[in-house]
This record gives sequence, C-alpha cells and structure tokens, in this order.
Amino acid sequence: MKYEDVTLQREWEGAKEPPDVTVTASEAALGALLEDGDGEQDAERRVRQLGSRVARLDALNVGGMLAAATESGGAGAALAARLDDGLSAAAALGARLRRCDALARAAPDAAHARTDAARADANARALLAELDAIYRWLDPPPLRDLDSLAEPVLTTAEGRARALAAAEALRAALRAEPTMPAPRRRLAAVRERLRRLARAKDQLAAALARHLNNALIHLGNEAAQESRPHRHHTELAPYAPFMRWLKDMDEKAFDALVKVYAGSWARVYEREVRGACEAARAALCRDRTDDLLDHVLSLVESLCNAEQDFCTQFFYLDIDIKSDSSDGEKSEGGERERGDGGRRAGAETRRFMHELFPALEPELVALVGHVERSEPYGAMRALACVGRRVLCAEGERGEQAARKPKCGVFSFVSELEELSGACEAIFATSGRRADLDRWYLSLASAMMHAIQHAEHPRTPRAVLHMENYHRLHGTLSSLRVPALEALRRECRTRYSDALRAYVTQYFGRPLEKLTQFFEGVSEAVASGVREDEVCYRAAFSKHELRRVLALYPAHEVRKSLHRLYRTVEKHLSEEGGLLQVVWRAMQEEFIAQHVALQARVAACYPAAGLALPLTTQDILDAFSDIAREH
Amino acid sequence: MPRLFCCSCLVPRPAPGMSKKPAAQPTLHKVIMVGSGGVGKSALTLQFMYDEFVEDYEPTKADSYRKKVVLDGEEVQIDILDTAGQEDYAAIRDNYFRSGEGFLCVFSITEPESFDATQEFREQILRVKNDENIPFLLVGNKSDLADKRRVPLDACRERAAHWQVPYVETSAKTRDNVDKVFFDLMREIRSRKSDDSRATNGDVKRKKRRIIKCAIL
Repeated sequence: MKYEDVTLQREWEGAKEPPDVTVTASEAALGALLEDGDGEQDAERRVRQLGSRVARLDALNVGGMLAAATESGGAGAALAARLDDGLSAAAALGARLRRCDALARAAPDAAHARTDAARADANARALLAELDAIYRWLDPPPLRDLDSLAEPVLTTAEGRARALAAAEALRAALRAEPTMPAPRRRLAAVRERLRRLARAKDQLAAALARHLNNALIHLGNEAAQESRPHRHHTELAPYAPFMRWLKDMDEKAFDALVKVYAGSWARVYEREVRGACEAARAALCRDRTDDLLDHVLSLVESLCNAEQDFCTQFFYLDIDIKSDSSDGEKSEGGERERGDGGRRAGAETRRFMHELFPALEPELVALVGHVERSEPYGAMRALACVGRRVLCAEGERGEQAARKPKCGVFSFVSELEELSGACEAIFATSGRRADLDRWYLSLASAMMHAIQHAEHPRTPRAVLHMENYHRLHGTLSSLRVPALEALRRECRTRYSDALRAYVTQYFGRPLEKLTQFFEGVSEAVASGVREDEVCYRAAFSKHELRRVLALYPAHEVRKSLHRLYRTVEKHLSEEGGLLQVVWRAMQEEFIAQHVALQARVAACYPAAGLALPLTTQDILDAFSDIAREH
Repeated sequence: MPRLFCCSCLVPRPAPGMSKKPAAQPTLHKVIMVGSGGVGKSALTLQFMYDEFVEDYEPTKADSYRKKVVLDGEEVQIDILDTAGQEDYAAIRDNYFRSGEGFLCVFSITEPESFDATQEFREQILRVKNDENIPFLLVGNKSDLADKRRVPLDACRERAAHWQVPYVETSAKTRDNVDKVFFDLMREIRSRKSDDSRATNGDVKRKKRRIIKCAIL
C-alpha cells in the first residue's frame, strides 16, 4: 500500500510534466504492477487494488481541480496549464481504465471487483466528458492566443481571416454562457476564463473600431481631394463581417463608425451633386432639357443605388443581428432579401440614405425650378422624367403598401390622374401634344409592368390586379388619348381576368366538398357514364351523396355565405370601390352553380329524396340578409 | 433589395398649378344607376365620365367608376355603380342598393316597358333602404329620339310627382342634361348628409323631406 501511494504521488507529479513523459512513466509503473503478479489466481486481488487506486486517483484529480478552482488571483495562464494537466492525467486514467477493464473481464468470477472497476470507470468517464465540454466551450483553437487579439493584423487577408475566426469564437463562447449548466458556470476557473475572454473581446472591438475608423476617414478624404472613381466600396467590403460582429458585440463602436461614414461621404456627395446640377444649369441653353435632366438623374440614381446596396450590406441595415442565429453563417446577401428582413427593410435604410444625401432634394428642386424659369415646358419635362424614374423605383418596392393591411390602389396609379391634369393644363395651348402622348405611353406601360409584378403579403394577387387595373383603365379612359387605346383595352382585359379569377377562386368555398363531389360526377358523365347510372358508382352512391350533404346543414351554408362576404370585404380596399361589383359577381356565380347542382341531383339521383341543403330562394334570402347586415 | 432612390417627394411639387395632395380625401357620394336593360345607363355614365358616346350595346353586369368633380365650389368624389338591367334574381341587387346613397332611376322614353319597370326598382330601393326620402331622380333617357317617343311626358311627370322626386329628360347621345342629373343627385345626397349630421349632432331636428315638400307645395 505504501508503495502504491508513492507511485500515485509520482504519477500525479509526472502528469505535470510534458505528456509523453507522463505516459511513459505511468506505463512503466503499470507494467511493473502487472509483472508483479502471475497467473489467474492473482487477478481478483489485482483488480481490487487497481480499483482502489483508480478511486484514489479520481480523488486526487478532483482535489487538484478544486485546488485550482479555489485559487484566486490572475491565474489565467496557470489555469490553462492546470486544465491541460488535468486532461493529460485523465487521458492516462482512461488508458489504465481500459486495461483494468480487460483484466476484470479476464477474471470472470470476481463480480464485485468488476462493479468497483465499473464505477471507477464511469466516474473517470464523466470527469473526462466534463473537462472536454469545458475545453470545447472556453478554449477552441482560435482562442489559444488571446494576447494577439489586442493587436490584430487587419491589412492582410490571412490576418483578417484569423481575426474573424477569433472574433466569432469569442462571440460564440461568450454567448454560450447562459446555456451552460449552472455548476459549470460556478467553477472559479471558468469564471476567470470568461473574464479573460470578455477582456479580449473589448480589446478586439477597440482595435477593429480604430482600424475601421482610420480607413473610413482616409477613404473619405481621398475622395474629397481626387476626382477619380470612388474605390471605398471595394476597399471596405472585406470588413463587412467585422461590422456585423461589432453591431452585435459593441453597438456603441458600431454606431460611431456609421456616423463617421455618413459624415464623410455626405460631404463628398453634396459636392458632386451640386457640381452636376451647376453643370446642367450652365448647359441649359445649349442642350435639350430632357437630356440634361436625364443625365443628372442618372448620376444621382447610380450614386444612390450603389450606396444603398453597399450600406445595407456593410452596415446590415434593417437586419436584427441579435435575433439572427449566432453562427454568423446566415449573413449572405440573398438570404436576407428573401427573408423577413428584406420585407422589413426600409425605415433604417431610408434614414441612413437621408443622412448620406442631405442636400439631394433641395439641389434637384432648385434645378427643376431653374429649368422651369428658363423654359415654359421644362417643368413638364422634369415631371415626366422624374415621374418615370420614381415609378420604376416604386414598382420594385411597394413596401409602403406591404405595411398596410390591404394593398389597395397604388399611389402611382392615382397620382397619374393628378399628373395628367397638370400636364394637360400646361400643354393645352401648345403644339407639343405628341410629346405628351409619348410620355403617357411610357408611363402607362411602366405602370402595367409594375402592377403585374407587384405582390402584397395580405392581399390576394387577383385582388391587387383587379383593383389597380380597374383604376388604371379608368384613368386611361379619361385621358382619351388614341395612342393609349391598346393599353386601355389591355387593362380592361386584365381587370376582367382578375375579377373572374378571384370570383372562381372563392365562390366555391361555402360548399367546397359538395362542389368537389359533383365535379367528380361531371367527370364521370363526361367520360361516358349515363347520368342515371352515376349513382351505382361507389364514389358517387346515394349513400355517399347523403354523407356529403350532411356536412352542410342549412344554417352552416348560411353562415359560410356570411363568412364569404366578410372575406371579400376584408380583401377589397375602400378606394378600389369594387366591393359591390365583386359581390354581385359572386352571388351570380354561386346561384348559377347552385342551380346547376340542383339539376345534377335531379338528373343523377331521381326519386332518391335528396336535395341540396338550401333552395335557390333560401340562398337569395341569405343574400338579402347579408345586404341588411352590412 | 427595394430601391429607395428617387425622392418621390419631387413628383407633386414642381409643377405649377398642381396642388399637393390634400390631407383628407374629398367627400365621396355613392350613386347607383338602375333601370331596365338597354335604356342607356352605361351610356349616361360613360358620357358623364369620359365625354364619350358608345353606340355599341353590350349589356353591363356591374361596373364601378370614380371621378373627382367640383360641386358648387367644393371638390368631391363621385362613385358611380352602373348595374345590370336584367338580373336573373332581384335579390342580388339588395346589396348594392343598400350601399347606394342616391339613385338615378333610368328608363327610355321610347320604351313603355322600361317606364313600367321603374315601379319595381323604386319599390325595391325603398324596401332595402327603408327610407322614403332617399335621394332619387327619375330619368327619361333618349330625349334625342323625340319622334320615337312612346311614354308621354305627362305620365312621367305624374309618376315623379307621385313619388315626390324630380323628373329630368336626358340624351346620352347629345349630352343633354347629363351633367345635370348627376350634379342634381349629388346635391340631394349632400344636403341629405348634412341634414343627417345635424340631426345626429342634436342641433336642428328638421324634417328630412323638406326640399321635396317645398317643391310640390
């Protein structure tokens, strides 16, 4: 026994040495032990010995951990070393356990010895697993060298990759804390390590903020002094993942960077837009007004679009970083656009763009004002020009509409009426009617395109088409421009198609199963079955029809008609003004179907005493009820 | 990504004479066209809306029109529901009659049957609206076809007097009295609405049928 204690002590000491030494030492000891006894009769005794040694080793190990845990002070590095020791010791233990196992199995009649060994084995395994979990949590490979995070290398791709890996690992480790079991979190060593990680995070955030701040200011200054094409988007793009990390981990630093960016680029763009407007004013007498306006607007548009694309991605505007999954992998551009984030996009982006282009609106308004003074039809041209562009922008977005409970009539459709009013007034006495007609044509085509591709989360597509094509048709009709005749007819057709689509999609719902049943009957008849023989088919037997009819007691049908009306009322907008038109069509369709069903019942199930739940008169009464109640 | 560019604020602003959109929508007056098939309800509507006369006859099912007009100096919106003359089941009309605030009940002076039918329309409207004094004009259309007239003017006037409603003859073809019937009806709707709001405000509880009564006394 004395010998064993000494051996254990030696082993424990040995475990603190480099691992290879430890393994050699313990293996030597074990070898000696095994050679010590010989033959099967000693197996039992040896297993017992081994069992108790393992238990003691266990105790020592835990003691060592507890000692480490209770030691306070700046034990960061010491702790890591200790944890390493523990792991090696545990590895050695594991190896010995496996041998004990083999030994125990070799002595089949030593039952209680086996249970001792098994217990020791389980304990050791649990300890191993716990250590492993702690290691995986607090000491993943990217966090092995925390000191270097205070001075990350951000100018090279490798440096950035390293820093990013460390940053993500830090975030994952810190964010995982609340999910860890409480006993694990209470270990002083773990707490110490977490404090160290938090400090590393602060250092990394500060270093990132410093570097990005310098880069932003430098690029801004460069653009302000030179007039070559801006390169800041390509220069900054590699840092986007860091911005995302900062937005999540250090919002203050992130906000400061946003301000710096907006501030320095607002200056640059203000100067450029003013320059373009001044150039346009100077050229006004020489060139065609539309070309000039078009040129300015193209410039502004490309600036704005490039900035919007870049900033939404670089600053993760309108994206709730914190609610994103923490693995940081979901940040690909495409994903956001399709997801919920894309739909919510707007408010933050809009605010940001306003900060970035504060002088844009006054500059353009001033330019248009100037055009207006120097040329009588200038304002009209400006209108047509701007209108066309706004429309393209609006058609793509429809996001304001998406926030409303109903889609309704798009503002650009109703604005066309006002626009045309103003245009007609300006052109009333001029000989430039053809120009105006041309503009109408391109505007109206753009609108139809926009309507056709628009979507709304809560309004069925058919309703969206119906209401907007109907209104556009009305406006085009009131313009009475022969050039628009084809478009006007197209609007009318699309409106009628949408109305029919909507009505047929919904009217069948009150009696859905019954409708389906008789669709089956119709198919059978169409395929050659005689009407009075349909009822001999199992699927269309009298019994089956009776079962389906039982699903629709009269009061249920009445209720579902009321429900249908409420659904239509909910889908259609007030400004669309089509509720009565649609409801009339639905009533007509419903009754027509009902009459057809009655005829079918009479032809296919004569003298069976079967009838639809409501008579036509009942349905008409239900319609009258609905009229009274709404 | 939705594009935010293009200060849409620019659109309404720069044009001279183009006022910014008023914050509140103008008052909406809901007018329903009723009458037998082929008497010219759609023709009247299209003439009023777009200054056009469509010769081809194509039966209407139901169609809705909206237009901003200036009524005695006030900008209002008129919503016209043009309806089917022939409806297989009268009950289908209940719902849109219910939604109407005023009715143009149209017949053709060349077709006595259409004049007779106005009786039924009137009854159904009164039943659905449950209101004797609903704004209502009896309109004899096709006044340009005087030589084919088969409904005597006296009969028309007599029926209007009996109902205590105005009677106006129109021609959708020549535009004669077209604006008049729509504007007269809107005036009735407007005065009816202001009566109603005064009544609900508990201000003056005047008799609702005052205008019509004065007209016949």
